[in-house]
Amino acid sequence: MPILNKMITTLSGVMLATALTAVEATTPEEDREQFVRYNTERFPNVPAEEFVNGAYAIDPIGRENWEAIEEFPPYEPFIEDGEAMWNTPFANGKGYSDCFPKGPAIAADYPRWDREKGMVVTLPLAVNQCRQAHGEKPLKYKKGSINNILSYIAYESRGEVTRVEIPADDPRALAAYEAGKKFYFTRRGQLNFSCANCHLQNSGNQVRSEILSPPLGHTTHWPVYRAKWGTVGTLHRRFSGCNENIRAKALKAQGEQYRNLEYFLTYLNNGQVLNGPGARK
Amino acid sequence: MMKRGVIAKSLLLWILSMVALPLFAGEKEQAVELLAAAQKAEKRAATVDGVWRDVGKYIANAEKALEAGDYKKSMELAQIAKEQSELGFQQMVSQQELKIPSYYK
Ligand code: HEC
Repeated sequence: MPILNKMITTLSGVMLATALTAVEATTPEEDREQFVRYNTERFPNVPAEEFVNGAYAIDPIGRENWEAIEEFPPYEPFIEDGEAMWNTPFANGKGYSDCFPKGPAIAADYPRWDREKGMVVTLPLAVNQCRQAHGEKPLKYKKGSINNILSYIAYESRGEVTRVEIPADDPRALAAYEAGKKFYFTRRGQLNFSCANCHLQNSGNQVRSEILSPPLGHTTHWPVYRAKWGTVGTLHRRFSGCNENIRAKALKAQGEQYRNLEYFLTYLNNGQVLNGPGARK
Repeated sequence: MMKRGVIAKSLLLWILSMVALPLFAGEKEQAVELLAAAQKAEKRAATVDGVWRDVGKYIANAEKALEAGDYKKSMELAQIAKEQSELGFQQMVSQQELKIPSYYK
């Protein structure tokens, strides 16, 4: 207990010392330009198309291992299972292609603002909306077979370009983006860290055994096979893990907060090329 | 003289009430009360998404200790959960307005 208290006081002392500036309102596009500038100025030697490879764009040793892993990608069986899911009719005879007539290369269409529902719809949510519309049980959002269908969709969407839209004529969409932005800069948990503290302020620095990747490229390669997980997991599973690492209680996968966070972060990645599924430590 | 006696007496009473009364109140009742206060604090932190990771565990273990009759342990755990929840609540409330940190320029 005393050690804990001491730690908290020390930490909050350090944190309070960081200068904050009042916000001037910026547009999402201004935010995106600033984000790209910050990343490229911080990592001037990383070629523009390399940011989608996360820490392996800046860590030569990690990269060597990763390239070896990518020769026999650990996510491959999940893509195959996902393809089988896509092609297996639901109990009512319909299938995923009835909901997604364009076919499986749809990852770049998400997350998107759903005007009727007044909310951000992510790809995992759309997958479950499809299932439920056809009388199937929804899949879990962090672990399990949702990752198979997502792996297949990600694979089929490789090469597409991130292009999130914030419709100008619906202020609720901008509000959702702003909520995601607020989340990214809000300190949470016992360690009092925001996403930005690690991924902007400290990108390139080491945390425990990991090098913090530049956040440009963070949304392009989901789901991800993580050695630590021993399987493929969703973006919201990663959000949960990052929240728990700073000793905050994770929020609900596909709840409003994480969907808005995804909307914000993916918008900042507009122009980045999709390369999922990914492999990470 | 008289006045000083009154002061001394009331002081004695006051000290007695501070020290002795809590000892008389059942330890069990205190533990139950503290646990309820911790749960309330957690709910309040949740309204601003400010719950810290281990609060749920502290509360669950405080409940177990209470059931097992280990009131001292239950109160220790509930106290941590309560304090952390209060800090988590304040943490979020203090950041209601978005501020862009100076390092991000
Ligand atoms: C204590 C530091 C820390 C905080 C705070 C943190 N993360 Fe992370 N995050 C990491 C580490 C370490 C990794 C793994 C190394 C890497 O890729 O940067 C990681 C990885 C990620 C990845 C995967 C990157 C990839 O290439 O696959 C995403 C996405 C991510 N974090 C998002 C977030 C978001 C959003 C938040 C805020 C909710 C957050 N993180 C908060 C430390 C942190």
